Amino acid sequence: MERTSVFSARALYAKARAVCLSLLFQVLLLTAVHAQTSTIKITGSVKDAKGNALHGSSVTVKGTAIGTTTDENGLFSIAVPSQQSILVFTLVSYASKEELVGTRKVINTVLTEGGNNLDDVVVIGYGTQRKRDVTGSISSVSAKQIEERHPANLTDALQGLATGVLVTTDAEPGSDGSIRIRGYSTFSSAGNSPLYVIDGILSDNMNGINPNDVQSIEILKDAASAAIYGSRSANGVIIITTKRGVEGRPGINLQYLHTFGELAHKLPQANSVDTRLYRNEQGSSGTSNDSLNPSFNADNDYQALLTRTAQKDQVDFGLSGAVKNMNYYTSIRLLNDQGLILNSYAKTLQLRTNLEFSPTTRFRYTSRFQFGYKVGNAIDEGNTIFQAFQRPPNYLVYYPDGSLTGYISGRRNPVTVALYQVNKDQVYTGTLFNQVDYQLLPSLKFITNIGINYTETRGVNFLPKILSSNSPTTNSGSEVYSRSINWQYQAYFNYNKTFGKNSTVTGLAGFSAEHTQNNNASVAGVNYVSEQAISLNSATIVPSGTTTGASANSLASFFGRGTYSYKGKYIAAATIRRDGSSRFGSDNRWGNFLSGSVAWRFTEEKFMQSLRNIFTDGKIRLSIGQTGNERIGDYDAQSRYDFGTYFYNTVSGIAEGTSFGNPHLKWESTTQSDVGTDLYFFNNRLTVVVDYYIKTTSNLLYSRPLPRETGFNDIRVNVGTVQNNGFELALTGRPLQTKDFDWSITTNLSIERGVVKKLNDGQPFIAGNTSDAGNASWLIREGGKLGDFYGWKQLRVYPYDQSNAYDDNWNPLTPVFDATGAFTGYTEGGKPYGGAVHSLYGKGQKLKGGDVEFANITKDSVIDDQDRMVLGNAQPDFYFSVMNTLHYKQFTLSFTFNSQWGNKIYNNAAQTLDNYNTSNIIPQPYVIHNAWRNQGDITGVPSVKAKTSTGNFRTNDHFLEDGSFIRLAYMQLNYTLKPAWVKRVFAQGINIYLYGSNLLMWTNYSWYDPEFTSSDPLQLGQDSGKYPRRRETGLGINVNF
Amino acid sequence: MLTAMKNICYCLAGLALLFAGTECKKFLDEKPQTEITANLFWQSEDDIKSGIAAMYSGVQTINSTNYLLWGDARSDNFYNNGTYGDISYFTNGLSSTINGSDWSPVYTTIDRVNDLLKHVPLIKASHPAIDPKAINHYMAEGYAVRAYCYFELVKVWGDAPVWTIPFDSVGINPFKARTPAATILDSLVIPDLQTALSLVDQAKAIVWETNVGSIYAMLIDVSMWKHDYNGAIAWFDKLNALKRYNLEPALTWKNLFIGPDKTVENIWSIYWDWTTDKGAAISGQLGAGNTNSQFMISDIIWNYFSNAANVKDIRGAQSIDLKVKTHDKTLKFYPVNLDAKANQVYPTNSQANVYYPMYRFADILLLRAEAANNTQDLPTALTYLNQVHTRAGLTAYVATALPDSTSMSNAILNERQLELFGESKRFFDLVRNGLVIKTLDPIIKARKPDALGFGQDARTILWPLNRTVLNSNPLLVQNQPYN
Repeated sequence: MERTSVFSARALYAKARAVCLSLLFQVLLLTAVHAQTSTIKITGSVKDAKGNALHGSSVTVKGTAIGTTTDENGLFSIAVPSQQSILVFTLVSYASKEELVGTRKVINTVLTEGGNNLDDVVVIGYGTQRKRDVTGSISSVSAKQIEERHPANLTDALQGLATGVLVTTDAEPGSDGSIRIRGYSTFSSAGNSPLYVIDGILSDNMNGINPNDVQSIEILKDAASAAIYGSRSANGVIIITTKRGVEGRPGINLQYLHTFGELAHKLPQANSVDTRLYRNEQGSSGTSNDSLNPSFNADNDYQALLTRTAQKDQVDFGLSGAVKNMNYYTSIRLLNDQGLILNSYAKTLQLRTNLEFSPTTRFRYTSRFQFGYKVGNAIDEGNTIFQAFQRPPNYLVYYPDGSLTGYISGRRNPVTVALYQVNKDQVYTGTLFNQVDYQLLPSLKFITNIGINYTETRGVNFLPKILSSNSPTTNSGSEVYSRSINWQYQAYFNYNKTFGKNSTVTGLAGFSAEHTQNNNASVAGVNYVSEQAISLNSATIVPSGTTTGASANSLASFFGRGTYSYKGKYIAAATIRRDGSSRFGSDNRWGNFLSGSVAWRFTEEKFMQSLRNIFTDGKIRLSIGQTGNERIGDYDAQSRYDFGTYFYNTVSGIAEGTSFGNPHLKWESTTQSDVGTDLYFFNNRLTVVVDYYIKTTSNLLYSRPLPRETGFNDIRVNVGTVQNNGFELALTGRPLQTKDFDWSITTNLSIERGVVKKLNDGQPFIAGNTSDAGNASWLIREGGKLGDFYGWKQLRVYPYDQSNAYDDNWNPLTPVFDATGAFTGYTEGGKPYGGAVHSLYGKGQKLKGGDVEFANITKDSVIDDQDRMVLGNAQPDFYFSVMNTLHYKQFTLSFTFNSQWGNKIYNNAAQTLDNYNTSNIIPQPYVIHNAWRNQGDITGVPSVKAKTSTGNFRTNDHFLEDGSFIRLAYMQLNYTLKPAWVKRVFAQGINIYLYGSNLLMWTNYSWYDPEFTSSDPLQLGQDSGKYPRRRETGLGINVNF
Repeated sequence: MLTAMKNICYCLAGLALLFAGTECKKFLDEKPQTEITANLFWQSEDDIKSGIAAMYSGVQTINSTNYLLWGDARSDNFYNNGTYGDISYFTNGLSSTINGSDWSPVYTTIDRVNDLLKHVPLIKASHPAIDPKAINHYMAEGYAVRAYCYFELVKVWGDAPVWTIPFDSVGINPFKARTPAATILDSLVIPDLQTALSLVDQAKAIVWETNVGSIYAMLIDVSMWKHDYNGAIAWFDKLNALKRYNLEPALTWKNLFIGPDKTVENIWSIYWDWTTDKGAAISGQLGAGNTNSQFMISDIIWNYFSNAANVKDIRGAQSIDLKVKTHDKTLKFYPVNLDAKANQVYPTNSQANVYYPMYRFADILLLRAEAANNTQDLPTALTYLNQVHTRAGLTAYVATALPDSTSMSNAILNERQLELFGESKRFFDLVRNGLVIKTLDPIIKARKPDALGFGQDARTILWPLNRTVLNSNPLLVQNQPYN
């Protein structure tokens, strides 16, 4: 072909049209053409050193796309092009092996365990690579590791499995948790989550994926690995590959697990005696202290009333197999999780079908379909489990006639809320994916695919009359619908050729485009005439709660990669990506993302050969690259007028919002350099992977405050720099390995340090609470770190009224009292003080005994917002996990410890209870018994009577707690029935297992659980009374037919 | 076969290149779907009406909670209701983080006005068919609201940055320092009101909007604030010459608050409809059905209205809920709605409608009395005072009872306190008459002996600038002695 001349756009277009017309016809011909090609059929088996059949081992013809996998008996059958073909046998954690076909028709081979896993295939962007050739920092997770945990979702499955990946789970049924790779690189919540690539489709989450469908997960952490995904890869990429059928007769897999969950950590709570003591302290107890009033004479244990044994059923069904040129995999999962709190639940249905059809050795067609449905009642934690602590325990839960109480003295009945408040969410997800692979040349493959993701959610909220605080009671509710449709198209060439004996070159060039359309609608109503069927038809519609929303964004990309490997000893790789996003100013839409990496397998050098017995393999990796972030509002670069919230006198007003559109917005770019080493010792019995990285985000996209006099609050800008650096260590060892007993242990340790290097004009700003109320605030400043809690430092509670006394330099004076207790004067440093005495004021009042003394930073007479300081940080100093697997004959015991260390949590749950702010909220028993009562009391708890009027409960370090913990997160004892027994029930394999999660926990944190997600990276680590975590035990069975 | 597949590949590669060349720009152009870009607005008279609605919506936001915080909370009309409110308002302990210290909603409204004043003339030029009288009236409404906004800024914070153009381009320098309060009044507020007067449609008298009456009322108010009593009297005469306003009869006094469009007295009130505007937040401060009020009625007001001798004052039972013994329910702004036990039923705060009165004729008459008193015209002062006093069902003052300007001033201010209770007037009355420290300090000290109060330092009469506002503009200097 005369390529040079054809590549003018017009000529190309004409040609393209002609070619496209004949396309379909020719595709249909493929099978027929194939029948004429001649091949050799090879059969055989793959076994381990002990003679056990190896199921799922991959068998490929070297240098081609032809391949199959062994069935559960370790058998395979494959058609090879010629006698010169070489078969490559690979299986995770076994050494790979090559066999020349020659004249043989049957090839039986043995793979040695623990062998060099450097031949494992690692999925990288738009292709695969042998682990040997990887130059970046990539963590791999296998199906086996995931299955051992029996996770309800993939986030649970990944916790602790990779260094540099901080996985945080929530305790509520159906919650998705969060994943953060190598620190916070930007200020927005969306911008800090990784990019997910599910079988080639790019996605913002992996919520709809059934963990049992996953064949492998690769986590691309450094820029050189992630940069091929350009604009959305700044926080790493998680590549998920789902299962495919393996050759042999159809395999049927059935799994069932039932677990029981108990409240892992019950908190101390005031009983009615404590409450009456508190009421007396308050002074004005009203009728609620009356021991004869039947309404106030209970002594409820609300935690017991509100919680139950959680029950979870997990049923999996899988069917898979393959025939000559086709493989199939289909699965169904049903999950019914009835949570700890009454009426909280999540039910999930997930379906998947993966099909691959290869009519010829050159051509493959792949189709994947996935559907998910989730329904749950997202319980209102604030009004249930948290209300359980607020509500005085002497209030009635049931009336004498057995009906539930609603509001009493301004406090909701948490049991009623749990049972009657509706917060029902339904989510439907569907994915359809089609791909065609064509081997143009032995070394060149063309791949094109199109995928569609569909998500629809429906939320129903309803607050019945029984929960109304109004007099007379009213009800209210709303319904929210949202829909998101995303399509993606990709086309790329993969090139792979070995020149001579030593040089291997790979290449990638491609194009992709995608578009997302989001729509939502919500309708709010009040005064439903019937509460039996929650229908807005029975309600009066509220216009201010009735809105629609819509937005769209588009991305177009070009990408390429080249790698070179010399003898697998010197390896180099480079990538380029050019992305255009609709979200940016029209002059700044396109961004280029480059990366380069090199690796040196120094154990291949001659001088290392003498150490080969100890040092099996060693590689040093160096990489640098740029990645990007484009996750901002779809239209942040445009000045916009909106409507719907500016009504006046029946006219709908049109005005600008609070953020000013910035037409100069462009990409945020993150440059990351990584140096790492992969070391294998003692024939792979010990593996050490170490990485160090520096990750710098510049042109930070964030909302910089505008002077309020402009009429706007802020403007999105590209100013600012955030830097993260970190150290990661992964150790995997097999300390013991005998015929019957085998022990392997993996430890992952990650240390992250982040710093905000530059802000617009160096201007710090406060996130969260900006007033002097008691909830958490954070200071974002140059030189600081995300998660810096900002507030007042509590020094002590003044023992005496006279303790509020200072000299001219604001050093405290010590009051002196004579034998009768009368105040006689002050001393300073033991000497009588005769100078001027100064006092501190809070909220316009002089502080007294029982008030909190806060650090007086400004050294003036008023404690106000200028006296705030950074009190601690919400990010852990380091986090680690230790995973053990022990095999003894038919038994396997595996257990995982997880830990985070050195982070602070602002316990706003305790703050809200203990601040005396609402007279009908009862504090924790510790507070009731230790509050300051009399002159001279030494205590850390301020006087009940002081309430909030002098600002004793400003955001302060009294509620800042150490969030460090070590948790025995997962444990499984598995028994594999002996094959002889299994055959009697016509099964291939049966496992029975005991399962436990969150079995043990060591922490000093005082509320339910120190692990919870924080959605906003500017507001990390505030616990406002989260859903309590369960200690879970269960029994499961897994049968293969 | 191979050729075919190659062709497919070239075809796709070609499409990709084509895409890169011509289609890509279009593909990456996404238009907002539930908003409009700036170039699509300000096209028609309907757009002007929507811009005007947004401007008044801004006035709603300004007043939603600040109405009471600025005009009443710090005065002797209210006291803190236990833990539900913030005692700082009542101890003169304001800080730069307290509610009410943020002037952002005022400037948001000013920006909307400036945007309106920029674009209406352009629409006028391109749409000659629109009635020029209507166009001018829109402009008048804009100028009047801008004058109102700057007058509020001056009353609450003193000096303030001046913006008379919209912030509509990133090229505009967003940083401005504060302009002295006196300059704002003389070279912005008064000229704006006079411009409004020159453009206003004299026939329009919708109570929910600024109109010729409210422009005169503001001119009277500003003149009084400047102690320009002769100016105030002159503007009063012009207002009176409209022959549009009078005192509402005693029988329908409640309509001033629940049906201002039906009275002859209301000059300007804020419209409210919770279904589109969400609940009027003043309800959480004064009285809502679902929560405790933040403010309770001060002893001065409670004792006067609950005294059996004052039952004849029609305002008492119609202003505060005398049945609620915790003194925390002010029912002035709600229609009478009694349950079976004849107790007032309050709306939930998310469903409260309150028609915030801005100016009404009783207010103007009492200002006129105050002006007369300050120009030593006691008989005129007495006349106007008695009009309001007797309408309340009380016996008229006789001249001998108020023989000098001090006693007259006390009587006028007392009348204003009772008549305009909770209408955002009392604190500014005290400021205007230089009585803040003298009146309030003893009350603060009586409630909290250790409280800071005002002392001899009049500087805390002004509010502090909010910390967020200060942080957003380094050119701003905090009001002393706040930090």
